[in-house]
Amino acid sequence: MENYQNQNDPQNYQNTNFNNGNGNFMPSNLPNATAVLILGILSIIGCCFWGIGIIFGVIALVLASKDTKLYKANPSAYSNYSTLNTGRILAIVGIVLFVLSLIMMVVFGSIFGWDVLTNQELLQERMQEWAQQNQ
Amino acid sequence: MIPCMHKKLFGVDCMGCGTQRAGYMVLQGNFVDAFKMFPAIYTTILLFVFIFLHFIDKKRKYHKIIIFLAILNAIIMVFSYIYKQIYF
Repeated sequence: MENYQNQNDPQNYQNTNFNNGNGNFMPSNLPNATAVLILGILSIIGCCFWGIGIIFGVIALVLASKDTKLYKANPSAYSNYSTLNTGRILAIVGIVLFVLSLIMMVVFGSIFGWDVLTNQELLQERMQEWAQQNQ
Repeated sequence: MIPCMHKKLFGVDCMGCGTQRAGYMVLQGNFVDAFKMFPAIYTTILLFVFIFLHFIDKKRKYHKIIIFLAILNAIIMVFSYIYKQIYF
């Protein structure tokens, strides 16, 4: 709200983001912040739904990078950067979970044989054998 | 319950498998069983509580605790997945 005092500052005065339509100059919201947060949540939930999570995560990151550019251009004009940042990190966590599950599948496949990837009991059996051997 | 796409395609549990069963157990009051089924269930519930609070309570900032819980949740999910595969 400190922008209220220096609304005669030409640099701020020319920024249309300060204009909320009533002639008052106020910090506005970033356009995609809530969308990024919701997509970030969906990317965490969807990380196990084989590929859906990463789609949400990538969309969230693209939207977040657009908004981050807007914010970096004029940090004092926007009030909800923390929402955007939260959503961005949730999306990153979702993508990391997806990538880790991919890596885990590849590692399991290469250590225990590729046939375990379609058989839960076989995977657990081989992992238990492997754990006993390495004790 | 919604079936797991990963489990249907490959036949192997994914890192999120057990969330719905564990949530159902929490609703029934089997807290220990829920933790054994899916150890990250309590951090997941807390995460959603704080995300909900973030949307309704605009006065306070919840972003730090949401980020912390999300990362903690991911770490618990990864380690409990490997543990579950070996010891159960």
